[in-house]
This record gives sequence, structure tokens and C-alpha cells, in this order.
Amino acid sequence: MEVLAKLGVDWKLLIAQAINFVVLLFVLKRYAYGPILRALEARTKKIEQGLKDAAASEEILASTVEEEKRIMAAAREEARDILVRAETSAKERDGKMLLETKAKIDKMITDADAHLAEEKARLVREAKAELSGLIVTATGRVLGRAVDVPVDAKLVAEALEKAN
Amino acid sequence: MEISIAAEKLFSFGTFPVTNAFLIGAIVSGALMIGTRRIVERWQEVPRGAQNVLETIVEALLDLIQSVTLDRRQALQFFPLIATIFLFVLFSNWAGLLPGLGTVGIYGEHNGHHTIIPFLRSTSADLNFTLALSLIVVLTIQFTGIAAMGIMKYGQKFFVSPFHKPYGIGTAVGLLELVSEVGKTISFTFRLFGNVFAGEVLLTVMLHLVPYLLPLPFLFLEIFVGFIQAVVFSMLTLVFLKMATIPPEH
Repeated sequence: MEVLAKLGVDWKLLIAQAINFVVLLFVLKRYAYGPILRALEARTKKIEQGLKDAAASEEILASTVEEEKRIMAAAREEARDILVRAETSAKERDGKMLLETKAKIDKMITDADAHLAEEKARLVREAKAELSGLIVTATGRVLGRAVDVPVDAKLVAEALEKAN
Repeated sequence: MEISIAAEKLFSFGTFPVTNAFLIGAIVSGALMIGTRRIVERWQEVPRGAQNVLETIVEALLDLIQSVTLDRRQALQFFPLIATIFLFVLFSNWAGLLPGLGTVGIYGEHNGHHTIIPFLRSTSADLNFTLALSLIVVLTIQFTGIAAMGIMKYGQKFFVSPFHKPYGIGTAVGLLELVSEVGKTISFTFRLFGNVFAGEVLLTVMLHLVPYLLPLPFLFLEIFVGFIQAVVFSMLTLVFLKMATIPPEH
């Protein structure tokens, strides 16, 4: 013990230093290490979560792009389909309309022909009627007397009929 | 030039002798408490300035401890003691290197003759502190071992029955282990004290021989030694703590 005393060891100082260190230890543990370690742990967790979130959103982005491509392709396909269908239906309608028009024109031509024929027949009939009257008058004049008109008219009509 | 192995008494506080080493120890521990508290109070999500330094120290220490314990829970359990030893020993070693070492002080009587009693003396250059710290560490080691495996199992490390397999050898080894626990205390005490005290003596002698430039390399050396001793003390504590939690194999 005398050796220790020679080296400057004093139990009062020894205990004081020990208490000093223990107090420092507990104060630091309570007010420094605890909060710091907790904060570091929390930050580590936060960063991990952030990285995880970033990876997840990247995945979502990739799948969204894929989905978009798929939808676009489908839409394009559909658009082409619609176009083709519209074209065919337009062609069909055109054909039908052409046919209808042709039919209409044909009908018009036929109608016109019939009408003309009728007109012609009527004209001929009228001419004939006039002609027979003239012939009767002319004949009467030539013969110098009036012939029995009904008989004459009958005869003329027969003749005209034969001449036809 | 006055070189004293014991820390010099500055004044008495009642019957309690306040030495320069004790004063520095109290100042360093106070500064550590206030400093870390201020940083923690202004804690920011994105670290800046001093917070960065503190975070780096804490993370590096925790990683180092975990690399030894290989167990996160145990690392967190040992962390406060190891970190406090490291920080306190480091800063008290460095405090003794501040200018005015051995020259600024109060004029007083020491060992029978009048001399200047310096204010600055590293706490680690006082056996009272190194012995106190060693005793705390060695006691903590014993308690950690007992807490980890129970007093009976832990006692088997030191007291081995001579009637089992290696017979007398096991018993002798156990007793050697017991002696080595005392040896630990002594080696802890004198390693730190010796290194820091020798550094202070070296610097004082150099200053007296050649006051300019020559002491500079030694000053750098002592900064390095102060760091190394802090690391050695805390790492040895860590290793002994870890060893104490491993059950004996017999």
C-alpha cells in the first residue's frame, strides 16, 4: 500500500475519479448515446424504406409503360379494323347506289319510250281522224255532191285501215 | 523542471485534495456532457457540422464493436461503456497536450520545496484515474460474465475440479485465469498511465532542452499516442467483455 501511496494513489481521489467516470457514463448513455443511436436507426430505416419505395415505383412505371404500349397497339389495331370496315361498307353502298341509279335511269328511259309511243299513236289517230274528214269533204267536192256522210266515213276509215 | 509521478495538488476542497489531473478530468467530462447534449438538442435529419463528427464516431465505434461481438444486441449493450472510455480517455489525453503544459500554474509548495504547480496534467497521467477506470472495467467484466451465464457457470472458469479429465492441469489453468484477472487490472492501469505520463515527461524535457521546433514532432507523436491508447484501452475492454460472455469449454 505504501508503494501505491508513493505513486500518488489516494483513495479519496480514486473514488472521486471513479464516480466522475460513472456519472459521465450514465449521463452520456441517457442523453447522448440513446438519442443518437435511435436517430441513426430511424434514419437507416427511412433510407431503406425510401430505396424500397423507389424500386417499387420503378416497377410500377415499367408496368405502366408496358400497359400503355399494349393499349396503344390494341387501339391501332381497332382503328385499322374500323377503317377497313368503313371502306368496305362505303364500297358496298356505292355499288348499290350505282345499281339503283341505273335502274332508275332504265325506268326513266322505258317510261319515256312508252310515252313517246303513246304520243305517236295519239297523233296518228288524230291525223287519221282529220284525214278521213278531209277525204270525205274532198271526195264530196270532187264528185260534186254530198254523199251519204256516215257511209262515206265508214268507207274511208276502212280504206285507211287497209292503208295502214 | 519538476517531474512528479503523483498528480500535484492545486488546492483543497475541505479535506478533499483537488489535483490538476482531477481538475482536467472534471473539465473534460463536463465538456463532453455539455457538448454532446448540445448536438443532440439541435439534432437534424440531415447532419451538419459537429453532428457529422459525432455520428461518424458513434457509427464507426458501433461497427467496430459489432465486428467483435458478432451480435447487434450485445454490441448495443457494450456500446456505452466502450464509447465513454474511448471519448474520455482520448480527450483527457489530448487535454494534457495543450500549450502551457507544466508551465502555467499556481506557485506553491510541492514535496517540500516551492515550485510552479501546473494546471494542466492529463487525467490519464494520474494513477488514481487509471486505477479507478481499470477497477471499473474489470468489475464490469466479471458482472457481465455472471449476467451472461450465471454465477456457477462463470465460477467454473476459475475453479475447476481436479478430479476431471485434464485432472490437476485444469485446476492450475483456472487459478492462472483468476490471477490474470488481477493482472488485467494492473496492466490496464500502468499501460495507460505509463504511456501518457511518459509522453508528458518527454515533452517537458524536450521543451527544456530546445524550446523551439524540436518538440513539434514529439507533440505530433503524443497526439497519435493519445489516440492509440484510447483505442487500446477501449478495444481491450471490449475483447475481455466478449470473452467473459463465452462459456468455458469443460
